Amino acid sequence: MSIFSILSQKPWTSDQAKIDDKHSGKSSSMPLPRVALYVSMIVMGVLFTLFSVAYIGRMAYGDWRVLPEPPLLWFNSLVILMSSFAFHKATLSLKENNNRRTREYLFLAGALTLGFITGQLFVWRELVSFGYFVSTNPSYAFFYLLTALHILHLLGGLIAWLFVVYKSFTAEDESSNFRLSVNLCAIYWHFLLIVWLILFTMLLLT
Amino acid sequence: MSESIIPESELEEVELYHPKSWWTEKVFSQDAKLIAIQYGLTAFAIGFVALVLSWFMRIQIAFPEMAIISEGTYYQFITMHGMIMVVYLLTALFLGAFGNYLIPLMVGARDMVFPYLNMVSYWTYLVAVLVLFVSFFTPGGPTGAGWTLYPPQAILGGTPGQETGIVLMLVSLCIFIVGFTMGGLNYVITVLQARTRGMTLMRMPLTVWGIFTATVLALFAFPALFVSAVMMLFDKLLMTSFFMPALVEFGENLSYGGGSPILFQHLFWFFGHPEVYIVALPAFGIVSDLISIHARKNIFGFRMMVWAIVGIGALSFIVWAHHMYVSGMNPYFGFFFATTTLIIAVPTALKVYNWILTLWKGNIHLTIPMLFCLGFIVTFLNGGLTGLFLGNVIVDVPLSDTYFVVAHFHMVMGIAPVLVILGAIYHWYPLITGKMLHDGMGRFHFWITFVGSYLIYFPMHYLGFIGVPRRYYEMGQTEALYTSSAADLNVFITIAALAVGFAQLVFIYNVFWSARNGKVAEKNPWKSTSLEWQTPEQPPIHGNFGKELPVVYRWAYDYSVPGAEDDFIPQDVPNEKVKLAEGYTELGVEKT
Amino acid sequence: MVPFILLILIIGSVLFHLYTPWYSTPIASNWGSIDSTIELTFWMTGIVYILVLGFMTYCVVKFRNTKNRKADYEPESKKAEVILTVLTTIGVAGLLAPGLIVWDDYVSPPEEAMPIEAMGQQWYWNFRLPGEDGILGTTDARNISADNPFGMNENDPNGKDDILIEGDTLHLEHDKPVKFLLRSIDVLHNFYVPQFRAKMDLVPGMVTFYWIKPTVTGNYEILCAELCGVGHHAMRGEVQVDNANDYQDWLNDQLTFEAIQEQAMLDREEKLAFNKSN
Repeated sequence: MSIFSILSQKPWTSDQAKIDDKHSGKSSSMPLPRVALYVSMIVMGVLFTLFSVAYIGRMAYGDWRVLPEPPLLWFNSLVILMSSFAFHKATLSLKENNNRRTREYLFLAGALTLGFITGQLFVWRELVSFGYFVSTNPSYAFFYLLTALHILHLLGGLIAWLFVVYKSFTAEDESSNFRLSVNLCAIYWHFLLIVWLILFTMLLLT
Repeated sequence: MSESIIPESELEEVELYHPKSWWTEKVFSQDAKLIAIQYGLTAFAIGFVALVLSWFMRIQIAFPEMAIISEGTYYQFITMHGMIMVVYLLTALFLGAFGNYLIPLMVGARDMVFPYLNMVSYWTYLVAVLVLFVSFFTPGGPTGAGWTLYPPQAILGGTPGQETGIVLMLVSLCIFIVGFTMGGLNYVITVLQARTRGMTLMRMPLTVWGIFTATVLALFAFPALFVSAVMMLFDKLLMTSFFMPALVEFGENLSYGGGSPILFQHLFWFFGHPEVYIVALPAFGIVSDLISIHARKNIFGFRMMVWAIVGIGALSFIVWAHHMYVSGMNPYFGFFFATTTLIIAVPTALKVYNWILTLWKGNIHLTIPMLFCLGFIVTFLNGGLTGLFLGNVIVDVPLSDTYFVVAHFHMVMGIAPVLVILGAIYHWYPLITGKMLHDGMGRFHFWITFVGSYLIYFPMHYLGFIGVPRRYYEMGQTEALYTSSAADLNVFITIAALAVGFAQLVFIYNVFWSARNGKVAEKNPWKSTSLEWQTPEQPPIHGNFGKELPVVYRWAYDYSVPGAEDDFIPQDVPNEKVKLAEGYTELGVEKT
Repeated sequence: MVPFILLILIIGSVLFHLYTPWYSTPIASNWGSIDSTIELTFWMTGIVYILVLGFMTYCVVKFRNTKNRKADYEPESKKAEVILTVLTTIGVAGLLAPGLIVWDDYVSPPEEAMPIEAMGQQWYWNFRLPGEDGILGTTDARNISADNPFGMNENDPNGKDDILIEGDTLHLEHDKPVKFLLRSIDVLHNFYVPQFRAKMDLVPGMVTFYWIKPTVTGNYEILCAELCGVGHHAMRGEVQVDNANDYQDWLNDQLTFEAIQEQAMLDREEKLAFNKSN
């Protein structure tokens, strides 16, 4: 049912009324937390897109200086990729009903994420020690701003991760609530991975 | 979106939260109805502050020799007045107050889908308001950069609020946006996923459509404000140059360089234009329902009204640079944005026609809500038509930054939606309190507000025509331009403004007096079809609908249905239960 | 009572418009086409305003609630919607088309327009004419100093004959088109003379423009039209439109950048000599 077909309905006719009377009241059969995550991801996507647009627009000006790429950034990218992979393995373990394995992968994902964040902070430290401050130049300013924003969203994800890990100890094996939480966490992590890859590519190319 | 047709037995009802202490029941409430009232009272409180600021502004304009406030204070007042009214009053009121109270009731839900998040969203909003309010008392006072906060001036010395005001403003906006994203998630997902059985999207009243679409706009548009606020904070606090070009301030070369003030304007207005529709769309939805109910007639062209709301919402994202025609942006953008802006006039005009065609062949009860609807149509038509002047890029050239613009946006965004808010309060007061507002005081309030506001803003357009710029502390010595008769006009406008302000005091008194002494309202006094009036208790209590949720059998506009005895059929009444008029064996044939 | 008040409002508004003393200031530039577009818009919107509100007033009278009145039940009328959409679209297009034609003119300065720089800062105006060579010299905000308030590039030969007008009245020659090049050294401003109808923001870090042809001699006030700090309302200036002879006289009295620099140098030498001898 597309938005166009919905908007074309004539709710006052008796034919339409017969169909409508049976409607459940939900536009989607997805559970609420999933809908919430998707809507949130859209909003976050808009946010990152706007920052990127500002970045690209700013690039056009004459005083753009290219930031050096510390090799640590590449290593960090690998780390976050692995954390996404760990989440993926966690969801697979869930499907096999192996809750212990799931828990282990969750811990691994969390640890790798912390590793990524630490790594990013080290990159900042390295750049500052070479004299690349946030106020020196717009391209540096954007770099710090964009990476900071990404880290903040990861931290938010880690809060959710804490809840999920807690549930992994207390929830019953067949609890669908727990399954949903792990799946949604994984989706969010993949989302932030994609955001990072796009940001990283953008920073690399300029 | 997939339509899911699920047998009743498989639908699970969401567990409703029950408060356990006085604190969690009355203060940190998770009931959308109480949260709505909290939003409403907070918004009105800070809105009243902004109203008082406007009195000082008007007195300064009319009687500059009095110098009731200094230049710096004047610019601080106009900034705070604008920002509070647009964001902290109107947006908070339409989405936070009306949205929270009406959405669950109108769609047949017991509460919003994420009540805890809803509660947090209110307290976040309150913190944002307090942070903004505090800037009145911090060193240097609040920012005086204009509600549009344009850099470079917003963070430089010649503008008031440099020490703390601008930072507090930006931080407050960021907090507000976080809070509203939380609320927005609730409103959108409740409409999508928590409707009761039989309530399709097209069976929802236009009030819900308006607030829902406005919330979607808010979720897309507020990030742009967030982005610009964060970047401006960086420029101010960390000396970055996102928006700051190389400049010389009072003889001193500053360390900024390479930034673009126009980038800020693009980001700001990418938010700013949808923002005015975030304010307007709920007003459109509500006024459609009020006209329909008080004229006992279905809204004319319901489908078109829905399409217009959605269409206006979508188009609102591609018109923003009509605020930037004389900004120095690439002049060729002017062609594009003038075209899109005038295109958006078409669905808007259709809505106006449909409101009037609803009155046509109706059964018009001149209740106070209906009066406010008529006032809305007059002022919105006026404001919308003057928008055609400003949207047409070349006509905007002489008129931009003059009082023509001030008159336009006050008419279309200040007066018209506020008339709807006031009418809506008279309409839903009996639901929220169980009492009716005093009729005499109400009519007095209406006439002074409506006619007074018209007298304020209609003549003001002409000050713009003679070229009087906006945001001027005083016109000073300009004989050629500012004739003494124009100065007299300003005095007239100020007096009208103070009169309208006084009328609001009568309204506030009425609201509190009637809560105690008002006539007890009968159930569903306006005989409305929508679900919020079909609750077992009036006012509705926690859980809204008693033991069982309603089931919906019809759209929201079955007024004066041929064949029915009553001139309305509530949405949760099936055909078999409708009392037929004499001589009818079934409900009349509807035209398709 | 309601229809009465509505009628008074409608009729009053129309009368106000027809008899208002506050309408456009007499135009002093070539942009009469803007005034015409405004007038066209007034006609269109005015007619719509009267018709729509008139019809609304009629409805309030004719369909007022009475004991036996029953409202009509008509959810939709495709015919009405289509007709109204078409008419509105035609009306809107009828406003947009002429508007865009005039805008095209506005953004296309004629070849022979003389470039004049209007430089704004908090809170006064400076001006610069291109001088004999007709070319304005380049500038840079970083060059700005007490001796060089315009930030001229000393190395640029084109700048030597530029005529600098600091905080004083700008003169324009009657009937000669000029292209204003707008530059700000600190914050956003806007160069607006109501009688010219034209305006454009001054944006630090870039040069914006608009063009006019002054058509009426006289004195006109410049009003800054973009909030630029506490002095915004006091940032005034003056433009004087002269006939050819008066303009030439004024021009001859102005100093070029080179002349100002030489004068400054002479002053310094004189001062040095004075100090030495004492």
